Amino acid sequence: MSDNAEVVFRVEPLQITLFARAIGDEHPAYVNAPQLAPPTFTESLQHVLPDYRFRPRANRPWIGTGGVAGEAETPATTPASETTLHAEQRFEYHQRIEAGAELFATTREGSTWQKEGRAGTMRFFERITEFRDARGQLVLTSTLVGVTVPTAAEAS
Amino acid sequence: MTLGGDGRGSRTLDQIAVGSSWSAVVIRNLTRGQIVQYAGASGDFNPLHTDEPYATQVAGYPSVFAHGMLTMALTGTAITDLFGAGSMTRFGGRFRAQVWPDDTLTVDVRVVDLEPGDALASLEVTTTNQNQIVVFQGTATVTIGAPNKV
Repeated sequence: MSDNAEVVFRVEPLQITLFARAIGDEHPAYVNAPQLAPPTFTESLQHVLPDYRFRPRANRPWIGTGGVAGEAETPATTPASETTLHAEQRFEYHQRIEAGAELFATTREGSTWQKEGRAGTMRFFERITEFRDARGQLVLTSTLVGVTVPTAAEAS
Repeated sequence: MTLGGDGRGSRTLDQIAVGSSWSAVVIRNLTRGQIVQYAGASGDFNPLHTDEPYATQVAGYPSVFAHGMLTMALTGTAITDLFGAGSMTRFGGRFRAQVWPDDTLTVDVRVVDLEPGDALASLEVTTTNQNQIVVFQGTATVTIGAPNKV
């Protein structure tokens, strides 16, 4: 997504339920009203990012196997000889997130660096997403560190 | 949970000290089905996690593997079971190795600092698989015994 494009992220009760099930944690706090969001729940933002590349779209080319022929509309940013992996993740929690909240997410690029690994050069990048409430107050900061490595190399 | 109880209670200051540690098995024999379930919940359908022919034949891995964020979320359950849902003020870490179908993950939580005034505890968390390979290593800060905590 482009820097600073604001995305509305509505915290739906059923989405909290589905997320809690998927992480194997049906803690009462995630089940009973007011339904707290689990710590990593904001990963669900991927559902509403308009150009998210790991969302299959029917009848359009897909980066995985099968589907219709052609170049995926949101192609991988790396060639087939390279794979991008999630190296590190950090969350800072400023306010509790409960069902019914309406949050506003913006993402920006952070630092980049590289180092030499066993299988070649590893290129790291940071992507920082801030979730704010309607008053503009910070609710959660999510920092992803990704690494691009030669395909099938181990993540560091 | 070695602390006893139902494993879902909030800890109070007198129950923990610097150096206190606990461990919990957070997933036994991870299924491909749960990896797919996490893909559906998070929206991340990266074929490395959901498409076995892609993972093996195109990307060269032995099979699909779990999202790092599924491992992190599972790790988080060991912390929130001890200190309460909504207790974390920070949570972060590095994905050290892939988690594969059939893996069993154990999380070790250790208290490394306490700030009684603020009732905050700093934790180190290490998640290992059934072969004692570290798959996730991180830190968290939690509030202890805060009112209105679940």
